[in-house]
Amino acid sequence: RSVEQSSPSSPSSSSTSSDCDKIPRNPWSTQHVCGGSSAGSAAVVASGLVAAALGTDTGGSVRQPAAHCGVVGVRPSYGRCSRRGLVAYASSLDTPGVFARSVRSAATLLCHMSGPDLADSTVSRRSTTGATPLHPISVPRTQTHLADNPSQPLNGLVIGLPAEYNTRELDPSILKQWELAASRLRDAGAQLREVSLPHTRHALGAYYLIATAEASSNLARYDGLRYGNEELAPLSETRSLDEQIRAYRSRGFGDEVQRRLLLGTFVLSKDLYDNYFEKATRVRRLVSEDFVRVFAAEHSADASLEASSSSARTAAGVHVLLTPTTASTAPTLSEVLSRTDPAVEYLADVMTVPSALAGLPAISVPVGMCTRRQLPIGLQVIGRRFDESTMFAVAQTLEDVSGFKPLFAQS
Amino acid sequence: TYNTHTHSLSLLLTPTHTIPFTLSQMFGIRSVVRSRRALWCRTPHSLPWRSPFLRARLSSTSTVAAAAAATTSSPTSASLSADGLSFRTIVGLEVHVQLNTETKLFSAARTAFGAPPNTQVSAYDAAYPGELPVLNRRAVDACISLGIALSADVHSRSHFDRKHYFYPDLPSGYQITQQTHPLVSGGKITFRVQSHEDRVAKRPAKVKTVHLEQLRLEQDSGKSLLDHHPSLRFVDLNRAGVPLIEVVSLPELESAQEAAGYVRELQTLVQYLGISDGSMDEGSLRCDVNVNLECTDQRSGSSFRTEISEVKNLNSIRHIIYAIDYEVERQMELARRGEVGRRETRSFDPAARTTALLRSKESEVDYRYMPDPDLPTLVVDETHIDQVRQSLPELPAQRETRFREQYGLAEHEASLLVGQLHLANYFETLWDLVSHKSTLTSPPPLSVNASRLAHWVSSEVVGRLAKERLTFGENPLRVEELADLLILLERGSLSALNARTIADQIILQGDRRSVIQIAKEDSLLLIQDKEQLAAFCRQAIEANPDNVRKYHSGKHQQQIKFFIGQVMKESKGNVDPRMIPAVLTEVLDTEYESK
Repeated sequence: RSVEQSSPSSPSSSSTSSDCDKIPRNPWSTQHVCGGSSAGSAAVVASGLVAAALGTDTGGSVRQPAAHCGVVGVRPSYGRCSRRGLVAYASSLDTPGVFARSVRSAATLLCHMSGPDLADSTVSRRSTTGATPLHPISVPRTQTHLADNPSQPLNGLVIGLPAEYNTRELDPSILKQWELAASRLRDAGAQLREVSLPHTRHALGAYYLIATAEASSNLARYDGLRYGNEELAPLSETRSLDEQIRAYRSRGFGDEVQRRLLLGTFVLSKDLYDNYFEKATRVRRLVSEDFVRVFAAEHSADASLEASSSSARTAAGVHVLLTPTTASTAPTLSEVLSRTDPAVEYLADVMTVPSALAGLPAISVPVGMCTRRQLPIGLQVIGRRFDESTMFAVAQTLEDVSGFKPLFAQS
Repeated sequence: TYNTHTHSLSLLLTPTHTIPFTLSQMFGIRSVVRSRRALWCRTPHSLPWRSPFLRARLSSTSTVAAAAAATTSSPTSASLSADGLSFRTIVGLEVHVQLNTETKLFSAARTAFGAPPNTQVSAYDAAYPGELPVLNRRAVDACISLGIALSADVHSRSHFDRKHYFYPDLPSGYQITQQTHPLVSGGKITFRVQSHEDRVAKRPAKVKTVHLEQLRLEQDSGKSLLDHHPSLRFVDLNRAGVPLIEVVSLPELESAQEAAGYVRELQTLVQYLGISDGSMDEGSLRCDVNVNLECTDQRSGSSFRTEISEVKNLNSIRHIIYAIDYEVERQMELARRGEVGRRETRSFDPAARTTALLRSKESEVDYRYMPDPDLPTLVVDETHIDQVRQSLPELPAQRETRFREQYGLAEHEASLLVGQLHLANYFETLWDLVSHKSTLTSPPPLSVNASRLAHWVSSEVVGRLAKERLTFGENPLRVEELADLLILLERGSLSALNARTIADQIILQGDRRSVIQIAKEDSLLLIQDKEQLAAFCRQAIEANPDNVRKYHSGKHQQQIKFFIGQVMKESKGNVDPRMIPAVLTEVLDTEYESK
């Protein structure tokens, strides 16, 4: 099957829709779309055209299409990989992300992409909690990656199941997969614990305020005066500067992008800043603190899970969280095009946004199919900040125990 | 118009009015008229400001103040009805200091002055997508050093904000600045308030201290060139991203002259710190002024303030003075009509010396400040601040004190030299050379007169350079040459006139010979040879036998004076006059004994 690789007019929407004639179709069913915004990358990996692909995950732009297309999609911790070279959308949320057909491939690729870069001031050289060096990512071995007990690879690990992710809108087939996966991981030796992240329902609002505000700032440079598509609004000697810029931006940005830019600009205006943008940043901190509270303390200098002993893992906290990646499977093209309320599209991000706000690493692993619609389902493993290794270990086990059959065999 | 004359005039002469000009502050109200007239009649060309209002006022003042009938009498001068309003000027300054770091604030592009357009632009400066800012450490240190020199608080945590607006010379659509948590806050500047005429006339200066609000690090924008084409604007991004420190003062300045003194002190300070040229001509220092008036009704005691107007982008001290004066008058007119005006942003027209409306509050730009997410919090620890403090160079105030103590210079002499770094350095090098060379003369070593050296540097050399429109950097009179010149002068080998002639030769005529060459080849050296001197003495004596007799009859002093004059005449002034009396006396006493 052929898939049209196309990119949206700007890296923003949840469905990569509405602004282009060519919308990437889901390789599993061309009636359906891939999600967004890195839909093209997800589609080409799922269809076997490439072994892996890159994307940018801001609020779930890599994980969501990965789940919809049945591939692995990883978002590293904020500050793990350099953002230099990335077309900036929301600078405090953007991270480069990886699509692959296996957890191991994704981890390998991410390993090579991470590390300090003098050109990016937001890349960490140290872990946030102190002088311990950044934990390097250890790529999980195919089968047993922990020396202790081959049949119980996750022995000693505590996996949290946040109650707030069991939403009313959650598709029953996805809920079933989530429960199934949890029990399989328990069989693999992990302890399960139900946890609460009470500010989850506020995360989406905060995200949209912060992301659109930062986007309105980062996209201000596209005024057509120094570079761009000359055809959109050719330089004219009779037009005033304002008219020139307005013409270029109105024609160059699609409706959804313009909507977000307007929202972002509005939210930063002098009268509203305190009540909207600043409040959103405070909510963001509350969301982050939710995670900090449920996670176990940072482990010791020994980076890999293999090396650390059980005593280092406190009984009080969890090591990773397991949640669905999306509330539903991939929508159909007609569904997307007939949407009148843009907010519906935003709701698709509700599972992926909180971890993005907190700067945590997260990976979407395909675990099964929705039998009714024949569309893949992905689950999300969220790790501690800079602890991609544990996250990958759990993801690898999840992949092993789920037995998901990709669309095309691994190359 | 005539009515404007008299209207302003009546305000001027009524004793209850406090006129916001330096003169009145310095001399007191009662003597305003007289001193005004005196100053302006005497030196009509050297007026520091010439607003249209003032020009009119000038002619009226000088004639009305005259007791005798005036050429143009003002019939309504009798109606000196008091508006009853007194004014106090309130000025706040925002000075942008362009730093002389090698690279820009957030990118590695070079910052050299005068490069061809768009040759010092990195991808980040042009706002190409994918590029991120990386902070320039030297710029931070420069800001810290300025903060320490201004006795301000250097904050260990600060952050950068984005200030958004659309403009062709702002490629990214935002300027990175420090709005909410700047690196430095508080501080104060102490400066002298003195016009150039006052300084030259050696009148004592008033010393004033103004407190600062903050110092913030920010990016400069590119340049828009609007004169190259009738309808197109040309953009040069060389300057985009160059580091600036914005020095924001509290509104404690009270006149245009005070503002000028403040800016001059800041210019000197940044030169001494080595962080900027502080040159307004080259654009490395620019100023925005905020002006408003506090108007008090003398009778009721109630007061109100006019709205602040901001005049942007003033790039010379003279313009600052003109702009403030114009604004004060404009707002005074408003206040007299009972209006307070509006909060405005205005631009200055140097040709007309007026300000014009750019933007009013209604069309004010909302900059949508947002913390910059690409730059983490700037953390500066105490040890680093201490290191910067230890490595500060000698500051102007310290240098001035040292000049007065070490060289015994008077206050005005020291301040003239210290005011410009290169002058002070030139002076000190000159002193060292002259001191050294004076010990080489035989016998005895000459004493070095610091005052004379100071005069030569700050008056003779600078004056000639100004005449030739040369900058100090282009000074053809090297300090070693000037040292030679002054040694010759001290030794008596050159007359003051000839010394100045040599200086003229070198600076004004571009003569490239050394001082000693010129003195010898152009026969400017004074004759100090005793024999030659004696010969001249004899010539003079032989020509005036009567006076010899008078000399021997007892009128020594008088006749010596006469003969000195004669010797000078005979030698055409080419002898060292200090040697004449001794030689003359010897000759008279030994060769022309009393007969």
